[in-house]
Amino acid sequence: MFGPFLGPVAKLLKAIASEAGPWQIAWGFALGMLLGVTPFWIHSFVILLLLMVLRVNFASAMAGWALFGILSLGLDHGSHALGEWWLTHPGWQDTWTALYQSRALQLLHFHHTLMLGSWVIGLLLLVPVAFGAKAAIPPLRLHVVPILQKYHLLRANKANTLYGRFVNVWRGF
Amino acid sequence: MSKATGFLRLFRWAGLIPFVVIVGGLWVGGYLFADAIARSLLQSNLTRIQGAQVDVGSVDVAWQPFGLVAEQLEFTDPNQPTHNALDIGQVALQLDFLALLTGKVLIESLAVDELQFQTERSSLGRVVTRAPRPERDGPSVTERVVDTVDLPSPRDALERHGPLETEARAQAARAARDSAVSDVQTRSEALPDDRTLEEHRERLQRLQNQELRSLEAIQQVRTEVTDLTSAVARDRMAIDRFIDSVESGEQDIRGALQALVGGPGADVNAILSTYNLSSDGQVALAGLLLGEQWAGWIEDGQRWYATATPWIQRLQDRRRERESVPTGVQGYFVLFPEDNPIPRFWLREARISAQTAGGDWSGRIVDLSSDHALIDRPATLEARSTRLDAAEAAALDLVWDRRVDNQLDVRFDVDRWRVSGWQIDDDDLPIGLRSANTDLRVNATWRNGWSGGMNWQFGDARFGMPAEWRSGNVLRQALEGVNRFAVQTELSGSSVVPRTSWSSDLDNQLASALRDIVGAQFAEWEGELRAELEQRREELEAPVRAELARLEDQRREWEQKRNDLETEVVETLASFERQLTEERRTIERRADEERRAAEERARQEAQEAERRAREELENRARDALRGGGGLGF
Repeated sequence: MFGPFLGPVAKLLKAIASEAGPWQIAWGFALGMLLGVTPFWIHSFVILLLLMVLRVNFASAMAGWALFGILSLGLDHGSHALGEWWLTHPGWQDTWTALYQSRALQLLHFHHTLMLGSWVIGLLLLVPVAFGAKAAIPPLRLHVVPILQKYHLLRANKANTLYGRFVNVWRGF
Repeated sequence: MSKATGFLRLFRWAGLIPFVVIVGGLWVGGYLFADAIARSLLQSNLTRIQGAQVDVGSVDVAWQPFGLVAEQLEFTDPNQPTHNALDIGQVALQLDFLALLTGKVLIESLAVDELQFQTERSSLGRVVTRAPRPERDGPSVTERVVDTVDLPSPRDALERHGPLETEARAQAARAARDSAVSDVQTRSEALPDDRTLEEHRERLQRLQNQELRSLEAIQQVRTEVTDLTSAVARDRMAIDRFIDSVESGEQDIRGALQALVGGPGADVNAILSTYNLSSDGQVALAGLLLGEQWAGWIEDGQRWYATATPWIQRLQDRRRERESVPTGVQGYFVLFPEDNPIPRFWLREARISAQTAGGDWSGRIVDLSSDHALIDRPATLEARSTRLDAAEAAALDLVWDRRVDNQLDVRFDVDRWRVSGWQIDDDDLPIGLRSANTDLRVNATWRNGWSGGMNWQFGDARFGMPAEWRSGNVLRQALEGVNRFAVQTELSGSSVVPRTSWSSDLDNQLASALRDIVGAQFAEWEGELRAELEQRREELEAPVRAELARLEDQRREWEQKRNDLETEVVETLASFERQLTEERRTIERRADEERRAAEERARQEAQEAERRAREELENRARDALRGGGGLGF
């Protein structure tokens, strides 16, 4: 039952247990969250590019993506409602109409209720999630990681998995 | 460490490499496998919409300009999985890629080649949802028309005709009878019996025999006469009411019987119009010959409509999506005004070539859109025959305009259509149109309902039927005389399949010819039918007439009783009353005379007494004078 949740959580815990800096882990997690709550579209490639070129923790980003990808199933109703409210708000019609004249901007699907709503929620959550994750890392490293290490729960042979191989190659950069 | 160096440390530029590798890999993968992906997507989506397996032979995606070419598309017929409803050799379409990325399907051009219908499949197609099978209500045209030509016996004709007017009117007569009987029965309860009437006579007799010598006696008799008069008046009124009710009932029954007399005539007319050889009857042979053909086309149309419904609904759903906001987590695109608006679906132009059993066609569809108001143009379809086996040319023009209302204009013309071998598959009426040259014109409009119709001109017509058929000889003779005829159809109704009302001069021509040929036979049949109906009428009206006769007897009997009462009692009573009055007056006059005589005698006696008294006094005075020589003073 909890299978889908265990993978991302394990990745996150491994990232926390690694030697990566707390801010790297936190911002990676926050950007992953943004990937998770928004529908996959052109913007997603931009976030992926940021994850690649910024010195953030990639594993925590994948964990954030997976976790919030699952959580977004519950968030989508709210995202859709928020986007619909904003897009149909009489006071914003001139603005949206002006933006709508550009085919390039239309490509961003800003006029899609779910897309707009989820981006608003994702951007609003970005900084709090980053700071929250940063604040949570020291206690986790202090109390949780030793216990996990004690029971050898973080000692999987990474090299035997495709992901592990990718991380090994990644660390070479 | 400088600020710039610190800022740059935020980046790991080497990360660009895996990004480029991933995105490039996706791009290259997409490019390499686009054909297979598009084929898979096309097959699954078309299968979902069609409701049955759709096979796509191959797909070739083009990137500049964006489009695809699909070949060997086979759409399984959901109602006949062994066949394809559509078989398309090649479809080439060119799409606006940017519009597609903004959630709109803008097809710049579409070419459909080698379109075929109802081709046999190499293997059984998988059916997802079966299209509803069209149903036909009521008797077939053949069944109706067989009745119109093959005359049954009069008794069978009556049985098959259903409720007869004669029976309905007989029922009304019976109801009038029952009502009259009930009313008369109610009134009869207040009637005096014979004993009562006799008592009136006896009582009158007794009164007449009484001595009338005093006013008191007359007054007493008079009181009894008044009582008797009241009783007689009550009884007479009861008799009057009874007779009135009988008369009213008789009148109702006579009216119903009068109507019943006309019943057989009405039935004969109705039956003759069913077993029609007249000009104003139902479609007979025209309906037979063309109706089955028409019904077949309607069924084909219904089947095609059922197949096309998911595709049409897809267009309408997209339109509704814009009008009503859907709920759900999928979200939707909110459209805003723009200078060059694009609807959610827009097929700018499609060219289609089709091969059918009857010939080859080429067609063109322009501006098929989910929002005609947005593009301010209706959708148009033009189809022209390029080769026809049995006609010179055919043209179909459709204009579908949803800018204001949902309006569809249909025009379908076929020139020089050589029809042949239209044989009705019915043993009861093996008649057929062997050949004819026809011109067909259909002009119809749907706007909250169908209007318009069809005009089909037939020339050089040749009919045929087997000689052994019972009515065949006369019909064949009649049919041989018909060379040209026309069939008109008016469309109505608001359902997808229009209701059709037919008219044709073929029936008139046939009727005229048949009347000449079988006029005597038909007249005999009509006479038998009329006699049968008259007999049935007489049987039905017999009990009513018997009741009417009984009522008449009853009325006459009570009229006689009323007359007797009138003459024997009422008039005698009136006479006796006058006699009483006369007697009273006589006694009063006599009493008056006696009173006056008594008064005269009394007056005379008083005068006499006075005279005597006076004489007595005078005598005494005289005597006194004589005795005293004087008065004594």
